[in-house]
Amino acid sequence: MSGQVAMSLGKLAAAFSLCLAAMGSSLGTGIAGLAAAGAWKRCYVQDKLAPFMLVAFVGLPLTQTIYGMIVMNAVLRAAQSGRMDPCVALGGLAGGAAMGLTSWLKGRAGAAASDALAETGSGFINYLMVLGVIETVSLFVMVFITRALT
Amino acid sequence: MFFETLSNLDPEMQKAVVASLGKAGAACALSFSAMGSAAGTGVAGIAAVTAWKKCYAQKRMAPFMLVAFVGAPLTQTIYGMIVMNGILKAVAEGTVMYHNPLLGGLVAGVAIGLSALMQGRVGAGASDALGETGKGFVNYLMALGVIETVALFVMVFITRAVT
Repeated sequence: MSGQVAMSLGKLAAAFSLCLAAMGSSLGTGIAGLAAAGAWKRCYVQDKLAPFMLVAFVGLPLTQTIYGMIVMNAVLRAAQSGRMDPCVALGGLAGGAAMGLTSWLKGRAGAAASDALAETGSGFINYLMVLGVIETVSLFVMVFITRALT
Repeated sequence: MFFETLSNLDPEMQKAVVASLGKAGAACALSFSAMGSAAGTGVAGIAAVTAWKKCYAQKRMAPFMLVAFVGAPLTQTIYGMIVMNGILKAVAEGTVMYHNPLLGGLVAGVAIGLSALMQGRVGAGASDALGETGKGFVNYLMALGVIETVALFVMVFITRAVT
């Protein structure tokens, strides 16, 4: 029974890491999507060219769901090989929350970038650099947390 | 306390308790997804009605395509149902304990539901914009598609962790 409990808690850690990262992605893409829709509307009203590249800012917070899935796979592999601490579910929760928070804030930065790009038509690379820095946080979490969870 | 009580039960009763907690997780996966869909379609619906009202008041053509924005968050309930079916199958086969189906089903439902809620909010913004300008339908649909992808990813990937 205890082996089965450890396996079940390991799978729970995997579920936490994916789902909390995905919650952040939902918030991030949602916020950036709202800003993009608003920016496009303003462009159409002012008869300006509506930059399609705003979709890139909307889509960027999606990557954290993939990072969550990568952590999930590592945890599942460890759980299936029997190397699993029952307390690991908390680690999955914390890792997922960290990646989700990054995603949410990346969406907020993407919203500001959408507004700025639609209004001025310039600075796409600068905005992308800022979003890349925020992305790096979750990349670090993904790479480093695997050692603690497996 | 709960673990102690569970391990003191006879094996048949233990199995029944574990199965019932797993089924509760399946119900959570569906219900939280559906709550998100309800909130999302509701928010987008209010915005669509307002946008149509504005069009009629200004004697402009009311774009029927706003219905697409209202209906987009509905798919998340289907995704919740697919996750629910996966959990129920694993519970019936008796291959899982209750922790991961119960709490995993809950967080999966919340993640899918949140995506539906945010999709509805973006759909509301899109309804307002399309109703006022009559342009950009494909752009708005792309933004909605990105948010949909989050729920799709959760549905596909979570199966391994909750079964």
